[in-house]
Amino acid sequence: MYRALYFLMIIILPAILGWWLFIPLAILAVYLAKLPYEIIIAGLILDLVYYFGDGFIAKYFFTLFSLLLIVLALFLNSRIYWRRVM
Amino acid sequence: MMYQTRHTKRSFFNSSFFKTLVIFLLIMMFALVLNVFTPMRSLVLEIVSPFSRIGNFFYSNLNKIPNFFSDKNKIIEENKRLLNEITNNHLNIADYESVKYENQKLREELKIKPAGNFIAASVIAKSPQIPADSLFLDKGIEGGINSGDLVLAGERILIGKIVKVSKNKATASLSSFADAVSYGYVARTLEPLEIEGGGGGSIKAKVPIDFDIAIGDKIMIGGSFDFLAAIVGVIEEDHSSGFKNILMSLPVDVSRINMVFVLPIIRE
Repeated sequence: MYRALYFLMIIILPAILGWWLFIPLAILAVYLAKLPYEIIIAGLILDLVYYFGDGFIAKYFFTLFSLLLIVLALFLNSRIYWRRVM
Repeated sequence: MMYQTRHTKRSFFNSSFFKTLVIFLLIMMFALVLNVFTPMRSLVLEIVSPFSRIGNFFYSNLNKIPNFFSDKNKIIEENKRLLNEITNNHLNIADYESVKYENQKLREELKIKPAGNFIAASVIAKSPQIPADSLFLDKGIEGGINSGDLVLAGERILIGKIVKVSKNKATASLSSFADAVSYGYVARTLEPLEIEGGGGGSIKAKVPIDFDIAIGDKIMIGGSFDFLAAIVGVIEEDHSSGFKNILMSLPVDVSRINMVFVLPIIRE
């Protein structure tokens, strides 16, 4: 339930207040939830909205960023224990 | 007695890693398909745009907050000044309409083509809501806008071009968008010039040190019409390299723009 709400928030808040908000919210999602794959979907959606340029990285900036975060979380998950809130 | 030691170290490159890798690759493929699939993009933009409008309203009213705490007499004075400005604007509009009518008549007599078929579009969101040097517009393919169309702030003020378009929404990239290259000329000397977006509303150019350019010069971009694209703000001479670095700005303050005009380019 919290994860679903957070997923909506991660799409809506950047749309209202600014694209940059996705970055701290995605990092926070990785900290709060165990492997929050849904941030990739949020990144995918926001990539359709924003324009960062014509290159591959610019075109899929948020998707690649969230993928990177998930890979990092996966890596840390097997090494560090931290308490998940969501 | 023999003891078999149990291997407890978990490898990062285990089966779950490869499963995840496959999921990632599928997601990237899905992203690629999604980006070229216009109806999906249109749907997403339709859902997101009301939130962008809320944000735009929030940011445009943010600077008005101090007014709520200002002195009442100041507000009364400002009100009087604004009323005078409105009266002046009414007179200016009347003048403009008569000049416009005269211009139209003269164009008809001289058989000059009309100034252009502009499509007016409202700005839904701008920086800092969306990345700097881009605008989110409320018209798309259905409104006659296509990728590559020119975006104007006035009849002859070019500020960018359309880069992303969906059914009812479009994204414009400004001439100041980082690494966006345009080719224009200096209005005063007609010397050609390559201008490059510097990001954050700035445009830059690098020219030989003997290039004739001055602060305040207007940079035009030619086409079927000549458009004002930038105004020279700073000139830095680098004698060691033999070049001049020119910093320009867009002709208008984009943060105050709420409406733009899109000029469709002619496609064969």
